Amino acid sequence: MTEQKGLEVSEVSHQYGKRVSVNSACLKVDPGKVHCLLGHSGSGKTTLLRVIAGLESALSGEINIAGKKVAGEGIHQPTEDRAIGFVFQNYALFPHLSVLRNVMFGITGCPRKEKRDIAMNLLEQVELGEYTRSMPHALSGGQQQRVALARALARKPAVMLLDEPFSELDSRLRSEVRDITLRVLRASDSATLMVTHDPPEALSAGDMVSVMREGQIEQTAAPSELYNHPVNEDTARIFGVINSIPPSSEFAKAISPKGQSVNLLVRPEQIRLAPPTQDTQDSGGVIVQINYEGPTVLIQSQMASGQLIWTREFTPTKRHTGEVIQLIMERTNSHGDQ
Amino acid sequence: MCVLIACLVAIPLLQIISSIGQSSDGTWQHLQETVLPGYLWNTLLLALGVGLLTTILGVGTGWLVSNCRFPGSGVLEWALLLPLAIPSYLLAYATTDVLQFSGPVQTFLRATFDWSRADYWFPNVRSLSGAITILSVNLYPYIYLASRTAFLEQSACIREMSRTLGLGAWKSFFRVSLPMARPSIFIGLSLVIMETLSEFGAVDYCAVDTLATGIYRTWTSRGSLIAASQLSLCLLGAVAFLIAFESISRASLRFHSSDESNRVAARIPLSFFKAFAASIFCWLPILMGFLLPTLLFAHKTWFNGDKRAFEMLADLGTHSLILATIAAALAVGLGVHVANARRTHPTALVRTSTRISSLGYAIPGGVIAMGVLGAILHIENGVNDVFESLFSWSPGFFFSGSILALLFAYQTRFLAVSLGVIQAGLTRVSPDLDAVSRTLGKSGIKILTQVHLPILKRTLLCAFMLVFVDVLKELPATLILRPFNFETLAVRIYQLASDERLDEASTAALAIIAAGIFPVIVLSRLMSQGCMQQSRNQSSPRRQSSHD
Repeated sequence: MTEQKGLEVSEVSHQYGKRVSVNSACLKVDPGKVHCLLGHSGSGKTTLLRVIAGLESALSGEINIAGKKVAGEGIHQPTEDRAIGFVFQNYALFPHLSVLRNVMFGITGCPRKEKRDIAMNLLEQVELGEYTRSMPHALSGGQQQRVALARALARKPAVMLLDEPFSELDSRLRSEVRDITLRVLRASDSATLMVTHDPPEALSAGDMVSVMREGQIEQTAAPSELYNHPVNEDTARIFGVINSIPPSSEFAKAISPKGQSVNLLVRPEQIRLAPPTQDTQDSGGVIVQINYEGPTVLIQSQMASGQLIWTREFTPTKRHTGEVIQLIMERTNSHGDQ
Repeated sequence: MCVLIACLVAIPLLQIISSIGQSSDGTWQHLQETVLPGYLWNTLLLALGVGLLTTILGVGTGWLVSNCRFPGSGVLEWALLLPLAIPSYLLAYATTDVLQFSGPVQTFLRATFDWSRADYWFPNVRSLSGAITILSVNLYPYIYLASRTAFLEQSACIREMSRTLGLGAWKSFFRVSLPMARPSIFIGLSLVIMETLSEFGAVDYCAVDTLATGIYRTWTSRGSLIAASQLSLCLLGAVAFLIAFESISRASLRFHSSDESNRVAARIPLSFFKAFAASIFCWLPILMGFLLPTLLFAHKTWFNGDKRAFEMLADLGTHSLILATIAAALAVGLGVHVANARRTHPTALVRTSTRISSLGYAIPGGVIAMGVLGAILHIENGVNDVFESLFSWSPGFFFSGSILALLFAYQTRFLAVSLGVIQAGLTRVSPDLDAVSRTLGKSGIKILTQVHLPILKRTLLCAFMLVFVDVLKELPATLILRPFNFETLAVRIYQLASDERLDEASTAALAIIAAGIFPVIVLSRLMSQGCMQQSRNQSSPRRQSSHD
């Protein structure tokens, strides 16, 4: 097995022509950990993944895989010589090979029987032991994804790179396949870097999450830290609706460490609705919109000042538009943004 | 290696290009003042006419058999390729024989209606319009092949979506299907135009003076190899333009390659009258381009065929098949190498080499043979001089007049065919497969042998079959470069037809048609299976110039 020291990316940059696609990206993924790279389309996350794989050349910076420098200072180790596994968004299964032969494709340096045993073992792990002789086109999307995962793991890579591996699956299948995938990946002891544009997926799957925007990594943190303490409004907004309350509002105020009044960012679940009381001049409002989300509802209220505020409650709810309410700030770990 | 192949293929072309600036003792000036404008004008009209008619026939039939259901459409899928099995010169002989004044059609008309020569008008086959018609029914399968593949690959969703936006079947064809298939149609069209520009036999038989016939005439009648080469340069210019045009078309393949949901659309059932019209439209080119000449030659063979039929078939047929097999295998091997280099290392040098490798297709076989002969004689003389001075012995003319010289000429002429097919096939292999192979530890030759070639086996067989049929039909280069006493079916037909012994030539003609039918049918089946397979595999290209 390859020496497991995970992945280290230092100050890596990349350009397509004159357009900077990745700008001084830094990452560290330990063996056995799953690190999610989250960002919108065009943010540079897939490009960073391809640079790590060696499919694109880094303009500058350094990449270490399993303690070995694979890129940096005139070094560009070819993809085929890097200890990586890659799962593509469209899985890229070889259409001319059976499931078993797809998984055996990258295994080298051992007798055929041993290759077969390794491949069979991996297919059992991803619950596809009965499909060894099937051709890729005969499999469902979720099954194809798991074959691609088994194939990438067959070489026992130090680093696993996954490019939006669940994006082509429907929501029910996605959670099922994600559970299997994460279980297998954690058991493999590879350092996993997974690209996704789905914030809930990043928060639930990643031990650490990096948010990428316009080629730059804006924040790297554990999921709870990232959700509760985003570094700026853009990062905060990635994880859903957020209330931005200006310094002029009488409802709530935030003071920066430098003593300046700043925008207050509050998540909907941090504000509670209550019946109106006598003393609700600054916190009173009227419900103007109710959006059902399934287990929760998102309620928009308009305050007397005209400010619109989102709150979230569990269903079922008896709230209705036009209802007069009072808004109460639940807790104070909200975030100030300049 | 790719550059080396391009250089080798380019030798005969360089021989032609080297004629620039050389003195032709006034022949070129004479041509310029007298026949050259006519050659150019006729060539332009021929290319435009054939281009237009083949596009109508090829796209029309391609769309009908891939999108509509009517009686016989299943048979038509492969039958529409049958004219490919007939050499154009045979089609010209047959059409002229049937439609000339003394032929069965006019004789029947005169006998039935009691007409004399002055009583009726009948189109003259031996004219520019006759040549356009003959070449069109002979060459439309190239566009049919390309357009049908493109129509089959179009996702049903796209067409269904256009229907939901209010476009009827007819408008949907013109505004969605046709623009999407345009790059493939252009590729087929450029092959047709190249074939037309280099066509000699049929055009000469129809008495139309084009650049190709002019080159021969300048060489054989006026004895000026330099002026003939200078005329060939005009053709080279035209083909360079076509290759640039084709590569632009191929680059624009990107716009219809991102859809992965290649669900095959249900075919539209046609009403009785529409089915009748569609059947006539599809069967007419088959009748003119295949059934008529085949039946004519079969009739002639039965009643007045070659007395040495069996001996001839065993001997000449074997020669033809061996030559075609070796040449096709070589063209596929070289084509794979060049196309793979173009995909994996698309540097300016490799791109230029790829284009040079395709240049020979539009040059008449005879001109290429001259170039090959000139180049080989240069080499042989050099080698002989060296051996003579060192050992007082020389190996003589070891290369010219051998099968190797002939194979060399075939590669110069037909490498473009295999290269074009293989390149088009490679564009359909997702670049992600290359990338994933590299992440799995494979590189270069292993990706080629373990991924590309197995996926492309149908494409390779298609390329092999196309070159095989082309070599089987090839006449002028074979005639000039064949080893002494080495005859092929095409050579035999030419010799007999030159002696006005068309009845005897019919046996060899029938044999050449029979030998060509099998690969053509295989080709058609491969094409259908390939498209269905591809839609199942969903391995459509995902070209991305940048990533998230």
